[in-house]
Amino acid sequence: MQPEAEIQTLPAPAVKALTCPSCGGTVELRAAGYTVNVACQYCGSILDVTNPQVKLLAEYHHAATNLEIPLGTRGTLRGIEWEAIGYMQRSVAGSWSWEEYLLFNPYHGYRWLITDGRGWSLGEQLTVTPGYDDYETMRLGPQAFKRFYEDSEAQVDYVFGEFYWRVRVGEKVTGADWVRPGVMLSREKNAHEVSWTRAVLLGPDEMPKAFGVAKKGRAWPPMPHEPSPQSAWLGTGFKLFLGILLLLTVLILGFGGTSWTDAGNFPVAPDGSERTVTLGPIHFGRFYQRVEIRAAVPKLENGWVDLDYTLVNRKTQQVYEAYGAAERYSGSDSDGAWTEGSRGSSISVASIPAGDYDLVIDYKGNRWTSGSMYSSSYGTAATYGSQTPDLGWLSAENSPEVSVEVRTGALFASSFWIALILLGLPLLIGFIRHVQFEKARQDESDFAPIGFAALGESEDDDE
Amino acid sequence: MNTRLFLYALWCLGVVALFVLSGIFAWSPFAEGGRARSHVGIYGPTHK
Repeated sequence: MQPEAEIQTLPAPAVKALTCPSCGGTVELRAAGYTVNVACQYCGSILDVTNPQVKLLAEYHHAATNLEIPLGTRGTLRGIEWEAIGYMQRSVAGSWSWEEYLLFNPYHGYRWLITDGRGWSLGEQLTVTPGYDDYETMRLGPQAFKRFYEDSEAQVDYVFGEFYWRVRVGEKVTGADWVRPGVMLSREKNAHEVSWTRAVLLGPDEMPKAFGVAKKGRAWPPMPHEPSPQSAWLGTGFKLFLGILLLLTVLILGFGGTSWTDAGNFPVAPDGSERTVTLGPIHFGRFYQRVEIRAAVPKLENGWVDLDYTLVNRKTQQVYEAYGAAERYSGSDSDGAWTEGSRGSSISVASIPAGDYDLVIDYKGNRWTSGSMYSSSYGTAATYGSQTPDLGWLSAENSPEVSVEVRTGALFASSFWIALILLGLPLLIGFIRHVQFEKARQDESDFAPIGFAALGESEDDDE
Repeated sequence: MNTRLFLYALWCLGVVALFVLSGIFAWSPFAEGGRARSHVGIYGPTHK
């Protein structure tokens, strides 16, 4: 650990050259005065450089791997120039390996560049100890971290370059990790000390720009501390959605409409013949309007009324047609009494231009008897000849009639629902992708999923 | 501004514009007007 205030008072270290006692290679010491151990980049042997006589601590005979960042490379990350001086490859018992580069700046001390091949994180050793919020949560200042990896033994598999402690291949520590979006908190402990590191996930362009490494594509499954791409917009997006809903409500009120106008009551022919009435002129003043026509047949029972509407523009003779029907049936069976259908009918004609119109209504009453399912005339008085027919709801004492009302408006309810679906669809897709991301991310965790990743998980899955 | 949020805001703008246009022209894909008389020939209760 290097308190920065002290480091700033120290002179910048000079690069010093050493000769490896194992292979004779020239080893450059970049942080002379701070470095304790150097791993020879040619043979991997570990050298003690605390004394002028370089001491061979452990002899190896393997060449340095082709490092993604050659030691000695300098790069500027977030406004500070760093030099890569050490490299370690670590793993959990030989699997789950990752790489760590030790960065050095004489005024800012040491940092770690950490990668498991999916992305880069910049780690800084902490000088404070985080505290537990609860069993699952660790707190560092205002930031809360959720547990992710439980205690496991991490070992050093390869090491090259300089380090501020006596690192060697095979060195083991017990590590555990906590995460929050974009940040990982790691604890490493051995018999002598406990150290904490806070690693900030770097953006995909930061490392290529700083150290010239190849840009990594989107990783799947995501890294433990990788923020969901959806979470950055879903919250604000939902607020926008609510705001737009409010706007649509204001627009609905703004468009308005007229109240129902009673167009008249018209008797239905008992013999089932078609009748025609013409109403008008009806004036429509809006640029374009929705014309809603509502019909009611109060005495309708076990029968139906066909209603053909034709709106004719008096000036242009342009015709707009629509069809409606009122059907109402009732009876009783082994389950008891039943009814079906409605004595009313409501239709809407869209985009009727302004003007004076005649509304022509062709209507025809029909009676339904059991078995007469496929003919509109079957079952009417005309089919009974000279016999006294049972006219049902069409009998004269019922005075069967159709009452018609008309009103105009601008908006259809369907337009609102379509808008609602269109506005909500991206949010829904984003949310589903967010849940998928969180599930994939937390799949690597040693603990049961939490938050949205726990959606669809049963209690049994947690065990 | 987040790119996704920006695209969503654009999308919302488009939807609101279409909603306003549907109000100005009083249009709906679900309006009954103009449809053929499709009900002919099939009458009677359907629940039994």
